Amino acid sequence: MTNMSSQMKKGIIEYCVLAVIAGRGYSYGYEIVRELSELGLAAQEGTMYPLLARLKKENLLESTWRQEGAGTPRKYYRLTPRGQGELCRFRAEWSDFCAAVNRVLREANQCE
Amino acid sequence: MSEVKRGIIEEYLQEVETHLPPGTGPAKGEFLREIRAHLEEALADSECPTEAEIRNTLERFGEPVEIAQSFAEEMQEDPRMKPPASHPPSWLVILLVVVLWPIGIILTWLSPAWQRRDKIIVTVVPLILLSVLLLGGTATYHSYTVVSTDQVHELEEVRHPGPPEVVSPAGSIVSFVALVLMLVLIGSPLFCGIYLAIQRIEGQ
Repeated sequence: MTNMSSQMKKGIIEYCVLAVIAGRGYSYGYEIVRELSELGLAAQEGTMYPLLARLKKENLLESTWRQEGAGTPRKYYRLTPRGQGELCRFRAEWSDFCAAVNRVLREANQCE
Repeated sequence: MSEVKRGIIEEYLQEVETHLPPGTGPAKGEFLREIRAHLEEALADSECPTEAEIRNTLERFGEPVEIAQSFAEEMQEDPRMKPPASHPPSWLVILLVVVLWPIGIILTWLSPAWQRRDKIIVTVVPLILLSVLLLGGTATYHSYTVVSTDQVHELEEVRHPGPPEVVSPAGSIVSFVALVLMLVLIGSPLFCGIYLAIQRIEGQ
């Protein structure tokens, strides 16, 4: 069951990353990782960065390095139009999927 | 942060780098830089993090081997990341940029080895230089030609019926423009080649 859970998370987590960035307008790795970790969605912080690299490579994200004051330079991400489209598509599909799963689970509950 | 503590982070980054797949180009350098930024920020709250705090941060971040493997997997999922066999090697692209700039530039744009920014620089810089030079040269040549023609007419009136014995300054301008043009034509592709080579080495 743990394996299934991790497989499920793996497929969904990239949309969560897109959603976090979309919610803030733009964000950087540390901030994204902290938010997802607090929600229990990023078990290993370091694995978020390969994911971000792929999302950028797939043109769902664009990035720019920026330094604020004397702080550490940060790589800020924001959604490309393609990324926004993908997120909208996932939102609709996820909503339908959740509704269907909930219906099935409710019916299963009634049987017990 | 002490040298010893900084050394722990460097060692960690080195281990990640060692296990990263070859041929992932600039993405690899960006990836390592981003991890470094994360670790620095994670430790920034504490003015002088203890060795235990650093080790704890690194542990939370993950095993270097696993992170490198994850990077390799994520990059493999995207076929664009792995250059297909049909792409010419980087050294050949750089050579063509220097020797046959137009063909080299086309291959540079097709190659995944460089970032878009680098491609734009090596395309635009020589074009701008050439345009400025041609426009400036043409304007200068034109103005001198007009002046020298006027001078010829004036002298023709004075010395008539003999032929005008005027050495036009346009000739020297043409030579000068031709010399600079030649320098730009040779120098720009050379600059582009060196620039691409540096970016390639830095990205690896």
